[in-house]
Amino acid sequence: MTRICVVLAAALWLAGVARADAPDAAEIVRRAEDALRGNTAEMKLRMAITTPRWSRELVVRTWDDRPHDRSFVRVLEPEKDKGTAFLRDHDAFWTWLPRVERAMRIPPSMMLQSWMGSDFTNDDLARESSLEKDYVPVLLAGQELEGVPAYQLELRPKPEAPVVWAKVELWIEKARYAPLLYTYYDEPQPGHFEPLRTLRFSDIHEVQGRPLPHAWEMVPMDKPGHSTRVTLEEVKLDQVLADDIFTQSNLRKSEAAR
Amino acid sequence: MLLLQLAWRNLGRSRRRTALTLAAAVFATLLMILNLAVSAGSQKRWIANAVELYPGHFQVSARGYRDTRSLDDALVLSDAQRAALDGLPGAEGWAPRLEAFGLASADADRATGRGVQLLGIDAARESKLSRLLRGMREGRAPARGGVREIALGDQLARNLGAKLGDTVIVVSADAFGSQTADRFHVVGEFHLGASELDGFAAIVDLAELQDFLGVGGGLSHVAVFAPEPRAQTQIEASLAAAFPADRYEVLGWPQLVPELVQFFRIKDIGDWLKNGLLLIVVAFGLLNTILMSVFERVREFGVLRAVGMRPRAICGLVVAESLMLSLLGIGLGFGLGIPLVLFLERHAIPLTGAEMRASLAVFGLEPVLEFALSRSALVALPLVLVAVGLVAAFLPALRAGRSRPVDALRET
Repeated sequence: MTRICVVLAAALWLAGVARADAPDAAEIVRRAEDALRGNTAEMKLRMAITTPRWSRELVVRTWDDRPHDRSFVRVLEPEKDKGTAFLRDHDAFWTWLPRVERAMRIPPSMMLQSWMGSDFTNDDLARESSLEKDYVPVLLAGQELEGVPAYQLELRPKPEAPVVWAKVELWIEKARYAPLLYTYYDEPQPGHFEPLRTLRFSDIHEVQGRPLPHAWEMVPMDKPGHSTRVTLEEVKLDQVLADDIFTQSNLRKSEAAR
Repeated sequence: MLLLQLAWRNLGRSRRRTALTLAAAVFATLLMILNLAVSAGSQKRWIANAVELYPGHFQVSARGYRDTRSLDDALVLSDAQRAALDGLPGAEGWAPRLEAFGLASADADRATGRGVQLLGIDAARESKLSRLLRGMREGRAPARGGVREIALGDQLARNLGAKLGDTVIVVSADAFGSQTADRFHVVGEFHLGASELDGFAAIVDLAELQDFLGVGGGLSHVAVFAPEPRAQTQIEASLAAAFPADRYEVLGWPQLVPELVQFFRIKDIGDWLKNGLLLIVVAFGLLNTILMSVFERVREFGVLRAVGMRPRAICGLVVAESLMLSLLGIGLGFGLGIPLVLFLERHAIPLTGAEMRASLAVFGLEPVLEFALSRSALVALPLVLVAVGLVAAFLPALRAGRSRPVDALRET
């Protein structure tokens, strides 16, 4: 009897330690998303797209305003695409077409289409869906990724979420809660998941107290030889973003592209 | 042998009865032949309709294109391949095409883009081969040079709020994944009766679309039109030689319009049920006439029994008689039916009912009843009809075999 009690007590103690050690799954996702996006974020990104036949580079400036659920993207380079801009305000998504000087509203069905020929989608750039808001996370057993102690999480979409991926698997560094590797899954048959693309983060260093990866590489599984690598050239987190960034008139300012 | 001789003579002895049964058999055969010809005719019509609407009987594309739909896997024809396409034996012709997905909107600020399938075509070739341009309700096919021109499906035009003479904005991804956008002048509006075309397709000149997307001479596919089924095997072989399978993909119409094959599978079940019912009706008609003739001949069979004929022989006699009759009937039926179908094959019957015309127009079909000679009508039908004749003769034959001389005596 006493022996059983001792074992039970030990088990309870261990369980308690484990719980204290591993934070809540939602908290891990929140901290990783905070690291990537801040509360608000203004970034200058260099995007290198590689395919078996061609490769090209884009430079874009992005504004991501999470509290107001809106974002803005403007293409700075190359010359051919310069001035193309994207504005998202809640679920309305617009693109500015400098060649014809018109703003066109992009229908929601297009959110998963390739953004400017890259392996990122419109949704990735416009950040309409959110891993934090639209998915339910569960902590899995994985303890380290390629030698780095990390949390392994599985995210399933909430029933009412407007999204998209049947499942997302996250690896998040334990020490700093920095995102390491995201794998996005499709569910071609119920209960059968297939990885569609991986997003790998590297070059992590602190920006305003957040462990921000400065290189992101997206690799689609179904297109051999394709990949898109994003490097962060400038980052400003948590500043207050002016309302007039997220307006139709700003969208039209294709020339004022700085 | 004696039995057969007897059976033949019996047929001659009662001309009226023979003629009646024969007429029933001929009528049944004709009915079946026409029925099969109508369903074969409608099948032919559906194939022609779906295949000639746009897809073509064969499509050649670069290997990989069908999976990726990417301009990276565009088809570029060599001179030798053009020559091979020109020289296809028994083909009506070929049409080069470039397809791309894009967004279109009215030419107004903040208009909503709608998904559109851009079809880049060579109007001169296309108008001779597919029905794509025949559906042009208003205006004309887009031409090349000068301003960019476009023809919209009527439903798409309505959704965009665009009319002839308006401009629309089209956005797509060019060969390098970069966004390409331009204004297109609406010069035509088409209605083809297929919602995926009327609601989502827009026709552009091939060279204009190639320029818009920056793909040089790149194509999505080449469509080959060869309506003559007998020429198709040869064409397939020639295409395989000009477009080796390691780099190209050649698909025939059953793969291009799989839903049509599916549709026929369902239709076949329906046809089979209809023919089965018709056969039952035919069997009862024959049964009835043969049975009546057996009732008429109670005395005859009684006498035969009295002079010592075995019941089984009488049974055989009746079966032999009706077998001869049905063979004769089937022969006559085919003799009349085949030329009739051959005639109708060339002279489709126009349908005049307004309702019928309207319902066929929904599918883009011409309001005519078409006939075609089907192989199953020639091979399977006689066998099935003989079997039905035998079955129908069996019951009366049993009955005749059970005749007793006593019954014959009572008959006055």
